[in-house]
Amino acid sequence: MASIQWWRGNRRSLLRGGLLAGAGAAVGAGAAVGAAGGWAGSGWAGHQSEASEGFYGVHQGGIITAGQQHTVLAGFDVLGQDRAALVALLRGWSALAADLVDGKSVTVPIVGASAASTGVYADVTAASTTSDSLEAYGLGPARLTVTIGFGPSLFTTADGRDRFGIAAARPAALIELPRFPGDQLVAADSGGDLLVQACADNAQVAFHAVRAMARVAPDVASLRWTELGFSSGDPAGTPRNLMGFKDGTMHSNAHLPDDMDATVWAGADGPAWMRAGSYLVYRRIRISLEHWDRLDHRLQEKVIGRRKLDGAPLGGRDEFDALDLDARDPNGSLSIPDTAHVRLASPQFNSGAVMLRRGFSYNHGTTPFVERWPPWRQALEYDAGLLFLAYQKDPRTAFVPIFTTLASSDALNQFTTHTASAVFAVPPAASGPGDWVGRTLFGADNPQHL
Amino acid sequence: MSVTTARRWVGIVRLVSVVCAVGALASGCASGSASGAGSGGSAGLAATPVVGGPLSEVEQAAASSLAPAAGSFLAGKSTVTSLGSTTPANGDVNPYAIWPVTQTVGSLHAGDVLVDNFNNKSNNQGTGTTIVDIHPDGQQSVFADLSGAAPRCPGGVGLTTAMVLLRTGWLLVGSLPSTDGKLTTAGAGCLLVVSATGKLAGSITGPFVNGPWDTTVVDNDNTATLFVANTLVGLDRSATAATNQGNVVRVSLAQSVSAPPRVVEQTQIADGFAERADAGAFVKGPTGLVIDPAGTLYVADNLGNRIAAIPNALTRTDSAGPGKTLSSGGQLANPLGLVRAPNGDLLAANATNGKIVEITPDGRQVGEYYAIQNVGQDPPGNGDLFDVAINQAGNGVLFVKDDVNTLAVLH
Repeated sequence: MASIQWWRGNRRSLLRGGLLAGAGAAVGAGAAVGAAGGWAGSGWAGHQSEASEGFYGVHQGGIITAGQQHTVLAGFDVLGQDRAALVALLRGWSALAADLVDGKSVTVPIVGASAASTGVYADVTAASTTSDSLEAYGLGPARLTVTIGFGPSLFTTADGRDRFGIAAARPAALIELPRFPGDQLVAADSGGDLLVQACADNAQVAFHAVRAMARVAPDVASLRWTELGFSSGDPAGTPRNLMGFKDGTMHSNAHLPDDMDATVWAGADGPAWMRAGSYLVYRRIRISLEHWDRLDHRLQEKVIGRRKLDGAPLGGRDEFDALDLDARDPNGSLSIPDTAHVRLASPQFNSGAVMLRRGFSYNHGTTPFVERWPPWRQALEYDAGLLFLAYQKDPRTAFVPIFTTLASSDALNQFTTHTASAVFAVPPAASGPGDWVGRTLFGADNPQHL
Repeated sequence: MSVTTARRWVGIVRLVSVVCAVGALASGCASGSASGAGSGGSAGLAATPVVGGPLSEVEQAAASSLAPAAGSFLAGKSTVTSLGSTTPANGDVNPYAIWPVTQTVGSLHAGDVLVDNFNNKSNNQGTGTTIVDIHPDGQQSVFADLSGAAPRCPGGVGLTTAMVLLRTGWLLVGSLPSTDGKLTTAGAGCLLVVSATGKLAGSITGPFVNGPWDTTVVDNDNTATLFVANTLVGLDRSATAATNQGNVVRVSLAQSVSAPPRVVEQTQIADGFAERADAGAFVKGPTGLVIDPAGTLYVADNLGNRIAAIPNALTRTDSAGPGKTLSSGGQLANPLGLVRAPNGDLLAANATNGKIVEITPDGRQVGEYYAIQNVGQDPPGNGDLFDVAINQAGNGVLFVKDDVNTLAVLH
């Protein structure tokens, strides 16, 4: 390598022409590491988890996919107003995600912004490396799914301006949620123009996926927030949340609603580009575990409306018994109390409204906290709880009415605090290689976006 | 949940094994047997409470019952109706004072109910700045946002249960502020003067206003006699502060429709009430005030767990000390809000359980109603009540539900 040019200030061309000679071939394609970096042959060489959920199909993975044990959620802000750069990003994301889902080790298809970068790395002279970071190398697909969503703010700014020529295509169902009683939302942990939800049976595989996708175009889409979640999985049946109760006995990815077209998948009543997609409501729910642990489990059961050990509804015998909201105990009291969580969240109580939940727990360790219920204790408490993820056909007829009831009356409200919130339109999947998530909205074959 | 169910839950951590043994808690025991320790030996759910022994005084007060006697105001009242949310758009929580509006004046209409908030959205006590108006249709609007009053009130703004609306349309509301929900940052506070359209018109400060926690008033239009319970008198600003200097001050006011109230004279008429910093409840001390037509002022002595009587409150020129004890213990559990029912009885809101207790003028406890039974607090309803008031129709008890930030009525 000719060092003389280095001293003459031509480092950029030197490095681009020398060290990363293979990068050009990788851009936009997600080339295997071996093709450019000389680390390994193409494909993945691991054997720990060879199960792949696949990336292509009708619906995106990570919605009804059987629950994985880990998730990494990432909200992104899209910088600027460059539609072409946004499209390049989405194409790059799909190409990369398809390989990651198959467990392949590939280079990152870097997309540059056409406008001047405003990112924190704008001052660097070196281009980003495209090399795979390799922390998931050899770990296999681990049933990774990558789910991409579009937030309301991608379509229009807060003052109603059309950002990328897609304002007219914003679905009516893609609402900003109203403020609910008890909300203690942290703005910096909420919202977002884009979402990446990575789920896998290996935490490092899930993180690697988000990390790689965030590298694709940091000048186009920068991270706004991330959350890491975990699940007990289902070796013992329906997974348990940190309250110790089974979570997802009804209407979850573990136990699907009967009529998915009526409850989960966007249909012909909305824009064509969303058909076979879904709408995601995300809420980070802090649970005061210290407070919960002081409540006798028999009272916990009254708060939830189910038995703690086997998940059966109070007054029932089996986890999957239908909720009998009229059942009374021998004393004449309602078996499922009138403020019990399962009663107020049930379809019977909400005109049939149903969501498909896909919850994960989270744990940020401990932080100072002021409880939002009497006697307003202040203490160092676990910042842990639930990453509530609910897919639905239309939040206006599902999450909003259900949670309006819960926010005012749920007995659980003395233990839970919603601290982050976001809504995303999750479009249909890419159909196969070359297709990309978002084509139905941004693609040249859909100039009217309708 | 039903009243009977909730009452059985009281102290259940301590009681459940005994109750199950005699079969009185059928549903609870059924679930316990299905999920209790030893069922298969796999689940570590405790079948017996960790803490044994007899019930504490607090638990006994919650677990025992006193059915309202015939002819009492509470007799026959068994329905609680939620009237509306007390949390405005700015996220203020922890509703304290209640004032049923009986005349249309300014932006207020007869039938409205005013409620103020002690906390802002940070949940910290002593930071709430709003008075909301719950309209008869359940809709809520903000009557006043007093966040701008901080420079005129020592320590800032945190609205307390001290709130009266004068017939001239002026509203007085107490502030006992903090910056972080802890007594260590509490200021002496003030009485804020608010117009009938919800605009700040001034403040009343001075040595006689030191942690104004509750008020009651005898209103004669252009003059009024206000009584103020102070709960910070002589109290150190530390987490363990305690003293017996809580007092009640009589404040003579003069005002007109166009001129806000001004202080003409003030006299301490009672003192010697226990005050104490509290890690959860911020501060405890003398709270609810109500005066009867004979001029006897009643004081809810929170830490003394009693209702004190101060004779000749309108005219006396000296302090009655902590007064005479009208009633103590029994169903009382650290009383807060106090109101006089149309039949002349007093109704006291308990702090350490969710009960409202009725007491006759001769000091007999003649009934209680377990108004808030939320098991999120222990004993159920602990810390959830504060002010109580009689509704405009005279047939119901208005109370705040601090656990769910709503105004409700028992009728």
